Amino acid sequence: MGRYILKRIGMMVFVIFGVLLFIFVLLYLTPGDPARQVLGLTATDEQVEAQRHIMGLDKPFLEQFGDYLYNLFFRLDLGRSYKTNLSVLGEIQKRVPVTLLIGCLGVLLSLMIGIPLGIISAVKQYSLLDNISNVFAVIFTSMPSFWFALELSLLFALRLHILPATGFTDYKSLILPVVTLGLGGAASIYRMSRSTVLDEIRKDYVRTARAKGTKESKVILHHAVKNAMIPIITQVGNSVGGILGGAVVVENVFSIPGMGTYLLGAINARDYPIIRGGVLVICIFVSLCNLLTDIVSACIDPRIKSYYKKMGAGKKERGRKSS
Amino acid sequence: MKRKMICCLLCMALALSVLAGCGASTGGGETVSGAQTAESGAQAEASGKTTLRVAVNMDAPGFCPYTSGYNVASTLIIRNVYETLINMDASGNLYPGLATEWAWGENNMSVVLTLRQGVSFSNGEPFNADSVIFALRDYRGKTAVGGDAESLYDFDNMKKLDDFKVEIPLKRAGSDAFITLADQMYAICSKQAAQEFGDDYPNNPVGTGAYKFVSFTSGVGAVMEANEDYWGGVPQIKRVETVLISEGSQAEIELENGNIDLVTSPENIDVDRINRGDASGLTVIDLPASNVKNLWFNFRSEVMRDDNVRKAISCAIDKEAIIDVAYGGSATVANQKIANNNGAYDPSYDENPMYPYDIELAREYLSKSGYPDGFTMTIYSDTTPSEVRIMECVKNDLAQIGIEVEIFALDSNVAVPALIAGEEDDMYVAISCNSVGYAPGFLKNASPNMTPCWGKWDLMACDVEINALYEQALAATDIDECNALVRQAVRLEMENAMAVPVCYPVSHLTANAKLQGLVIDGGYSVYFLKDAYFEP
Repeated sequence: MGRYILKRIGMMVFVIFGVLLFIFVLLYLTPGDPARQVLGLTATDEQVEAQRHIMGLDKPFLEQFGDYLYNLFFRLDLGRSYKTNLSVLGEIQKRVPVTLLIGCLGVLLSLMIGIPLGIISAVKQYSLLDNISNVFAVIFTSMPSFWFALELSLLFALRLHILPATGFTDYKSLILPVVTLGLGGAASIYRMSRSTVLDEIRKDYVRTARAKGTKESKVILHHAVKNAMIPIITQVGNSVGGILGGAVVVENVFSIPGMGTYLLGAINARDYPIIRGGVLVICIFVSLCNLLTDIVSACIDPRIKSYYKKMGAGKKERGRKSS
Repeated sequence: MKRKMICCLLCMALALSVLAGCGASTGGGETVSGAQTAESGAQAEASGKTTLRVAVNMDAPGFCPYTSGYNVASTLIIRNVYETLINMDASGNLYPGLATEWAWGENNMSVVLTLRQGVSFSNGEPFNADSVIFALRDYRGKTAVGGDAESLYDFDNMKKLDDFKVEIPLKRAGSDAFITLADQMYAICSKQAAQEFGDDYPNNPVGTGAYKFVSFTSGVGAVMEANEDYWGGVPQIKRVETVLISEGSQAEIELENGNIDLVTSPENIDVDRINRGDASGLTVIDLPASNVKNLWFNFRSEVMRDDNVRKAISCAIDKEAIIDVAYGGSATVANQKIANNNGAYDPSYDENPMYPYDIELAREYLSKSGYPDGFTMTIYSDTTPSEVRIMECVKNDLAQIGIEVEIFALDSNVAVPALIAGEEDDMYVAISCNSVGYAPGFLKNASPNMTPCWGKWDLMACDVEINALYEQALAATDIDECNALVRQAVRLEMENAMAVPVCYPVSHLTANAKLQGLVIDGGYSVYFLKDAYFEP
């Protein structure tokens, strides 16, 4: 298992390199001149060329990429924003925790609502609770998050005056964004939980457990739900991985200074250092989340763990035979 | 046991992420502080409403008057922290700023400015002729790019006549020599602060204005406080906070809740709602309509060089419909390129438009052109919703006379180079001519050769005469003479249908009804806050 983890971490380096190269190529080929964007319409061609030289945009592609990699790995320098001249790393260090906070709280809320509701709906299939939950799940899955966010603002901020509509100042300002993210995520986790638990409770081993006289709650929670959690853990892992880039709509509506709004502004302004730095951070975060999900899945599901062990043993055997 | 350990580790990892976020108090980016923070907003509020919170819809790119552009989040701070030598009001009239008098120098090839005495920067540095020379010659010279200075002022040869008098030579005769100094690009910065902060000075502005910069947090907003030593008297509003709220409807919610006092880019629907009286305690402030939305022809296109084609297009466009569709009625029809508060404005065009909306007349012009059976053309614009709707209206209008239109809405980063290259578009939608006030203000942008994305007017024979008239107007030092020349040039443009003026979009602010004394410079919709106050 340890070898598997080390191998995955090693692969991450290649993944990050590949993503960086892809982003570099994409930005290089994208129309629009960042130098012109900075200087404005009235700048002459000579001034634009001079600005391009200052920004290093007149260098060959490979030289630009090489400089970036050198600064990244040897100086941990992600560059400075073309627009504000502020350090990209400094900005990211401030904004990532903001997005993580809202995202993780959103995921927690999704789990707290989605899993119990999914289990109850599966156990009491076709009951009133099941039907109502299904309807709400469809509504929240279909509903655009920006619309939902605005409706929450109208109700709680404008009509009831109990929560702020925008900003990131205290715990009250977290409630609406977290609820927006959480309820949307809860719907999909609910549907997944219900589906997997329904699958499990129809299997032979559950019938056997019941036949042996095991209490129903133990049958459901100790046997069925544990097995049903594996795909849910994978989905949660994907959701957590998508936090940094996925909260942009909510951040924009609630004016939260997170990674989403930071990247969105940079894309509109052709601020290449921010785009590269932001994508790099998201790539690392997603890779780590995927790795963590795989590790947790392997630890929880003995079948996956034994598969990895077999793979490792098989390689050792092949190595011994060839020598 | 192992599974329980894994679950615990997972929960700890999640909790650590949450705690990491809890460490971010106000979040956002780097906090840039320019001065010590004075008393808190809460304390100031206790003695009456002396804090103004302004919602802006984009982050400030910085606070350097020479490089930060005209983003409202930047200009609100820049124009209240820095001052220019001359100011311009909403009607285009000039009034003293850091200069109390101004006059032409020898042969009208220089301007002589008498500076205000008893002024100091907010860091205590005294303001005098040396400050002006440092700001405009030394500091601005190495930071600013573009603008009029390169063609108008010879800052390198500025002269200090005495401690409070400077002379700025001109590279060309120019009736715009005074009004241009009202632009924030010629604001006066502090030498002491520039030396102290070095390359970081743009993020730590220090000026002579009614306010002093306190701090800026990227993604959140900026703070400035009243300059207690301001030469024009201490402002009644002691603290100004800009708050970044990207979503217009959220800004209005905060305004109605009293968390915001002024919204700089309200949605039209909210403006209508307040005007109808559906939101008590709020008011709408109309800004002068100083810009003109035009349809520009690209004269690189052979089709567009046909006079009758352009006249046909001009007559086929229903401007009233465009105003309803694209602006929700919040604009007025333009029959010429100049705003109606400009000295060169000719009211006769409103009574007798040169190319009125008349489909039959349009068809007649087209039948006389080299393309009587119609043709296919392209129109470009950026992705601003109003401009896209304009293109859609134009497409429908031109279809009635047999001209098929392909519309291209491009991201502005793509649109600008495409328009400069001018190889694919036949027409494009763009704002033009920030023409508030008298003609010299208009002339800065009027000459076709001054803006790179104009469609190569020099391919048109009439361009020579039009340019000559503009240059004479620029060189005229008498206002009436300047206005008359501009009117002639505009008439020539109109006769040759060089562009199609569409409308004057009206901008608004929404505000707390108790906010009074806001002074708006019509040039770039700058808000001066020194006389602003809240009614009890």
